[in-house]
Amino acid sequence: MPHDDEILVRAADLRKSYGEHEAVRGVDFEIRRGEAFGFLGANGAGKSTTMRMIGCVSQPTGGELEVFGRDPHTQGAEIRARLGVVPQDNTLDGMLTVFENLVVYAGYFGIKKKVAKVKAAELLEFVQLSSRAKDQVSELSGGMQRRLAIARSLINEPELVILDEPTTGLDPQARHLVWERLFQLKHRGVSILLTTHYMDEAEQLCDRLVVMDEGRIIASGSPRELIDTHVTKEVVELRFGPAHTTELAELALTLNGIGAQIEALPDKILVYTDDADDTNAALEARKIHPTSVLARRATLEDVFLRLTGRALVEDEA
Amino acid sequence: MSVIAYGAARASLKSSGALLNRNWVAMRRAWILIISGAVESLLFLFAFGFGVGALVGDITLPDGTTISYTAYVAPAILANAAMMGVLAETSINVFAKFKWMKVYDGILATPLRPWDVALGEVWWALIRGGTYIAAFVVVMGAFGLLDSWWSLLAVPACVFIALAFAGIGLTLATLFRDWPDFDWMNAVVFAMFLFGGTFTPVEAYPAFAQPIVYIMPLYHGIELVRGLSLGQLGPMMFVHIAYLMALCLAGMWIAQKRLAKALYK
Amino acid sequence: MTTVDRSAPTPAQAARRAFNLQLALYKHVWHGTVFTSGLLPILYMVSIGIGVGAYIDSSAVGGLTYAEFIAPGLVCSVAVMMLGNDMVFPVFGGYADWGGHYLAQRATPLSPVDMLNGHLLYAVVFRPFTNCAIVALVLAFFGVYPNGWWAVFAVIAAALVAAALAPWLHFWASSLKNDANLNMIFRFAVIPISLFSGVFFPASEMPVFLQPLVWASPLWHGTELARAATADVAPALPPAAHIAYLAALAVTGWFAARWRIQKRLNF
Repeated sequence: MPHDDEILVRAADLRKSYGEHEAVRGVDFEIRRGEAFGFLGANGAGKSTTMRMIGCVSQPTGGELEVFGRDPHTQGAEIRARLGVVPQDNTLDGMLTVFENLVVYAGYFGIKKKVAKVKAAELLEFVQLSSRAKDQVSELSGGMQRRLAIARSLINEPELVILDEPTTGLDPQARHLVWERLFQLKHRGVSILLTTHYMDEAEQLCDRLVVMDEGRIIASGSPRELIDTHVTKEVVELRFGPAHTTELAELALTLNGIGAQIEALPDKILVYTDDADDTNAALEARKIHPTSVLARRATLEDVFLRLTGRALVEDEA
Repeated sequence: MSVIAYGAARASLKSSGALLNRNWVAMRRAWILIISGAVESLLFLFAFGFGVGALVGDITLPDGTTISYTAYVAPAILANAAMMGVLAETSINVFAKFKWMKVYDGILATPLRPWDVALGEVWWALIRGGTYIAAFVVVMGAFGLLDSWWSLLAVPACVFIALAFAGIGLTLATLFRDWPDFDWMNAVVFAMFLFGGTFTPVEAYPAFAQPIVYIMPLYHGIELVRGLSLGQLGPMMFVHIAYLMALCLAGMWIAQKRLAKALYK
Repeated sequence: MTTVDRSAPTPAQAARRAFNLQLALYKHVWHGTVFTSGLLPILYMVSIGIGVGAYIDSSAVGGLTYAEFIAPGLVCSVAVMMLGNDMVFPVFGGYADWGGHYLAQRATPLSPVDMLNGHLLYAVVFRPFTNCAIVALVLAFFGVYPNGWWAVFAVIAAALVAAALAPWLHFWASSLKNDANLNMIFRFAVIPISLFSGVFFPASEMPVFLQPLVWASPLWHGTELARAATADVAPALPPAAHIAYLAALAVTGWFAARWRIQKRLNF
């Protein structure tokens, strides 16, 4: 098969099952050099499994997968030599200091110690951890550990960096710091592949993304394309005090005809509309008075909701 | 550049060396912990070799030779030291890195393969076991328990013991589920120490017990080291070496298989 | 109306509550202790007592058979080995931020001293009078008690050894910050005490300059007392002196451990 050097990862009908359970049920996608590609989906959608297969630590049970034009099954070590991986749980080495984590990891890629030390210092600078070089990993905050894991993934100058939920479990400030660094990477032309269940993350970082649900890809495109294709321009969120879910469903019926579509969630009602002012006027006309009304632009969250009928991150504060 | 890294991916010896480097960097701050491990076996040598040895005096072996009990017991405790150092490193420490600290999860995202991990851990265990052996032999020499140049061959003989238990320890690390399993391992190890021919000739055991002793890896290690340090050589030594090497290879093979199965899921 | 008792517990009540926790934990791990407290002494008895004993002339150990000589010491050294289980890792882990039981108890009416007392009650009373008693009983089948029923006092000697050593181990384990150093307690306390306290060979076999260390060992005092009970061998010192030494260690150790745990849990 001729290999297009611009395509880093190519999957065709890729599958993975664990016994009876099918985690990935036939997905197709291509990741091109230089782009930031995202897998968006709820927990258990099959994102991480797909990432593990690309990272050559999990063997597909069906379909085709090529990374850098190579077969992960027979050429796993060669592929991993060109990848940078940031796993969800960091897998930092708790017995080593921050600096040692980078230098020792470089050793796994056969990078000479002298070179490794220079690179490690540079990378710590890049992720703003230079002052913590001598600390034990356990002394770092969650955000710092994630940044260290990102620095570690860059030690071999990878052609593609894989990040599995890079900001899950971080506080807002730490998330923004990680995003900012990933922007920098993108700017340098590093190809990025990430999974996330945060819509804002996907919207900000990804050039292209696929939405996964129950092991399948249910939509793909750029964030803007997805929003344009699947939802209206704006969304009006209505809250009705302490109303229960069943009451909200009944209330939703009285809204019939307002906006393009109505969606009743456990805590609020969403009205999809192309013009929020029209919607507000229509509510006024029907004498419906929610305790709060919030008009906003449609986001990927709404896309996901429309496509699956479920909120992406449940119980998310 | 990444091309360099790519080229290095194939060199397995180098890859396992990278893991060795990791262990060295991680443990160099805790060197006192490792060195002091040698103390344990020396305590047993003093208690049983010298303390109890003084009560026994001389012992007559089944072949009719008579030697001091201290000289009889010391090589066996040396064999035990080689076993303990390696087993602690490969079983408990590898288990902790594998199940608790998830060190290998990070490593297998690099060009390293399970074989490299297994090999790297064996190198490291040999180094740790080697320090114990060296410390012990020096003490034996200082107390006049090495009576011929042949006895220095006890050192390479201990390497065979170390290799065998490195294989066994690695396999156990991948088989064990939780810490209580190690209590049982320690129980078996201690039973081997007490009944593997350390303190009395196996020929003095009841007939039914003897075949069980012949299965114990430690028994073969003890016979090998004792034969060399007492200058009693024989063809059986090749059997002991073959048995120990078989355990080493089988253990490493099973361990890397199981590591791959658990981590490449 | 509340069904919860809101009054502060008396020290005895509080210690019993802390003890109950140890007992609850014991129900989960007792099978792991079968080896140390049941099997290990038997293996020692067979391998060393009988096996090596066959080569030892009874004149070397005061006219006893070698098995008779080591039996009382084995009963007491089981107490030491159990403390290696009960007073090292569980104490260290008690302060750990991943589910340390001392930290959990800190939020209850129990005070640090109550936790110490409860833990000691378990290690010094409950464990010796169950486990060492079983060992003493099992060893009876080897016919190693020339003095007959007096052997019961060997169990009391074992409890005295535990009382002298337990608070000091508690103190040590409470002082450590790094779990890697827990091994040091085994290497430099539990194992040397077990091997060099006159259990397997008379202390007089040791080099003279090391003998003061033997006299310091609580296990040596306990073994002297236990051997007097099982085999009617005159102890090195009058029994009251041995008991006084063990009691002194126990009391000073308790104050040291109390100081330490209060310091650790006061934040």
